[in-house]
Amino acid sequence: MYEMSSYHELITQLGIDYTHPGGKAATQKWVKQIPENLENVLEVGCGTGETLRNLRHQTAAFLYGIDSSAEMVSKAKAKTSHLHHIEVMQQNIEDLLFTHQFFDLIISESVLAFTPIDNCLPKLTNLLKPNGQIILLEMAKSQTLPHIAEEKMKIFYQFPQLLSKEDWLKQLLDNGYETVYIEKVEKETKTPVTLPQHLSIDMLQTLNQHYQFNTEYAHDLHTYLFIAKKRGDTHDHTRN
Amino acid sequence: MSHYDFCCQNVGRPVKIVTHDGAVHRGVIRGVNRSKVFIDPLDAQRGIGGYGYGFFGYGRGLGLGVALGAIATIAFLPFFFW
Repeated sequence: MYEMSSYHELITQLGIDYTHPGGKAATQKWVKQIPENLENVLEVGCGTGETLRNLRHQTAAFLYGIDSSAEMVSKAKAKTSHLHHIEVMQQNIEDLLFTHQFFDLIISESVLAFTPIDNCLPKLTNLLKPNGQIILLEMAKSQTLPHIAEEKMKIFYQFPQLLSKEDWLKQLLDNGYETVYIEKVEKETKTPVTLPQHLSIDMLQTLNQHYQFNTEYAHDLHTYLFIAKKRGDTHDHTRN
Repeated sequence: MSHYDFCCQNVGRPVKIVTHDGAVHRGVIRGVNRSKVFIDPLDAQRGIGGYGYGFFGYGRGLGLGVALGAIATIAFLPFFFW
């Protein structure tokens, strides 16, 4: 019996840009909408750093990218080394080393879905300034997704949970966000992906499994863009 | 553009190939010569629950060969990652 590689190992080994649903087009959708006059921006799970590069053209803010993978961090560093005011660090989303209310904007492109959200969203929220924004581009299941498929996907993708659009919205509202903008995003990328040569059989197997899941459950799995604003200080009862 | 040229230009990309006899092959282009294109198949049989047997009976590094002359259409396969 083959030991399948994990999906995370696959993504790391592929090392391709925009490994999130909707690809570059999905990133460009929200990048153009970010507020002006930002001071500090954080991208969690920055991968190869393509989104940071996009952001660089859009804002003068100091950009921070973190990724749990040392390999991704070194790729992202190499890609952004010529740009000003960008820092890429190897950090785990669960133990972020930033100070309370430091960021104006935090971005997660298909990263939070892979983490224990009950634990991670409050931590990210804590790092946001009052009236700061969070941008999430994340997977959502529909009610039609069979339970058995959900369980299989949790194992394959190592999802601690699999949320619906309504679950995401509830998470945001429960964590003190208001004015949540939601838009459904096309999952498939317009520009064809190019995969590296010499993928091991394990990796090809994992790639195939990923493809089969998303073919079989294409209509039960969606991607949404959430742009939410954290409540301002005047409403923040915890600070009274 | 000939199928040969298309395959040469798109090594590493997932494609869907339909042959004149109606067979459909999905996979990642690995290589091409004057007579065949070789793909690493994306195949439901090896998909969900399908592993556990002698995966890839095609020989490692070669992939599945499809005769260029047999190809009716070849197009990019919609693809994305979570």
